[in-house]
Order: sequence, then C-alpha cells, then structure tokens
Amino acid sequence: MTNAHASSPQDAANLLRHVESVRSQTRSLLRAFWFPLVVFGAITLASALVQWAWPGAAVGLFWALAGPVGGVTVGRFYQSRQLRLGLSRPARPYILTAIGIFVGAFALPILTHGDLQEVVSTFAVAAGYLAFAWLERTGWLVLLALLMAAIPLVVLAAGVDHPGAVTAAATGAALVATGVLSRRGR
Amino acid sequence: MSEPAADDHPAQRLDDVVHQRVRLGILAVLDQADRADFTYLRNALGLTDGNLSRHLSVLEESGYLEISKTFEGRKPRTWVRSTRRGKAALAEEMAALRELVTRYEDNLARPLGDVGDPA
Repeated sequence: MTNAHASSPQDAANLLRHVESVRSQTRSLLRAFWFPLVVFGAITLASALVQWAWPGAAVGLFWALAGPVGGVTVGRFYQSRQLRLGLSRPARPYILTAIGIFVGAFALPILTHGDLQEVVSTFAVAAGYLAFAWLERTGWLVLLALLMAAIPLVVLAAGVDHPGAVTAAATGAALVATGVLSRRGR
Repeated sequence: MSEPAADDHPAQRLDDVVHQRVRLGILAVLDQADRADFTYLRNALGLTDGNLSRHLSVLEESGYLEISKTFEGRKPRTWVRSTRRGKAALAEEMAALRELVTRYEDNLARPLGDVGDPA
C-alpha cells in the first residue's frame, strides 16, 4: 500500500497543517470541562458548610452521597452533549481518574491526623485535576491543580480555625471561578 | 558513505489509502474523538453525503474504520470509529510527511554544492 508517487514537501506541509487544524478543532469542540468544574465547585462549597457546621465524619458522608450524584450529573451532561454534537470521546480515562480522586480523598485522611487530616483530601483532588489537565490538554486545569495544592498549604501555614472548611470554601470557589472563566474564554 | 536506499525515502512510506486530504481529515477527527457521526464529519470536512460515503467505504474496506448504525427513535444515525489499524496508519502517515518536510528543510539549509538527497 505504499505510494509510488513522491509527494512534494509543500503538499506534505499542507497536509500536516490540515491534520493539525482538524485535530485542534475536534479537541476544542470536545472540551466542556467548565460544567464538571461548576458542579463539583458547588458541591465543594456546600461541603465547606457541612464541615464548618458539623466538624468530623459528616463531610465524609456528605461526599459519599454528593460525589456520585455529581458524577452522574456530569456523565449525563456529556452524554447529551455528545449526541447533540455527533462527536464523543472515551469516558473510561475520566471515570478512572474520578474514582482515583474519590479513593484518594477518602484514604488520605485515614493516614494522617490533626489539622492536616482535615485538608489532606485536597491533594488527592489536585493530583486528579493534573490527570484531567493531561486528558484535556489544557493549561487551565494545570493552573487549577497547582492552586488547589497550594490552598491547604496556605491555610495550614496561616493556622486558621476550621482549616477543612476554609480549604473547601477556597477550593470550591476556585473550581467555580475556573469553570466560569474557561467557559467565557471559549 | 553509502547513499540511502530508495526504500528509505519517506515518500515510499506514504499510504495510498490515507494519503489524501479528506481521508486524513476523517482519521484526524477520529484520532481525537472516540467516535463521530456522519453528519458531524460531513459538516466538519465540508463534503457532500456521496463524497463522504465513498471515502468512508474505502477506509472501512482497508480496515481503518468501523461503521455502525444506531436509531434515535425512528431516525437512523451512522457512527464512525477508527480502528487500531486506522490510528496506526494515521501515525505512520504523519511521521512520513514530517520526515519529508524535515528532509526538504535540511536540504535547504545545506550550503550549495552539498545537496545529496533532494526530498
């Protein structure tokens, strides 16, 4: 199946540009991460209230219920969007990353204690967002992941009361703000 | 120093089935997306129904694509997915095209009288 005819370098350069342009257009159309950011940002803000009002295990129960609800909401959004566009991307890497975040966010507090225990889940979420950034090929999510990793460090260094609630409030606000800004920037 | 064999020239590695603007476009869409429907491909690549059908048939016959039909209510919908072979064909084609361009640029950069292997 090899081509007997030589292709000119100009033709080759044009074809390469064409393929890159089609790839980039497709990637851009498939990108809709603003929605999960807003959904999980809102849930994280609500979790801050839970953590502030009922410190302790309540936030774990809250996430055990709200996390799957958020996941199903996001899944349905992507499903209906894909049918409308006529374009879909594999869901498995996203689902595996979300499960990884969920497991990490529940496991890390078991391994720690004190103030760190209240904020350590955010590191698991930040690591998950780095994975999402790679899947989406976007700098927005890299910045968000770095910000999320910095928030608990700043909160712990400041020595505030309710570090878990403060971290969740700041993280939720960052998620919602990034979601809104990335949607506007499209 | 031995001359590179003719078979080493990247133009010899170009695949007749995919070395074509529309077919490369189809494979490029499916390289990013898990699957795309007929209407999306037609609009994105600016083709007619008949033209797209012909290109899809060629790619499907070569094992580069899988085509499936679903129904939304009574409305049929045609979905296209790239196979592992299709993804490999696109990657090989892109590599050959890049090498062609690189060889040409290298030759342009060489001083006059030192041009041995025009791309």
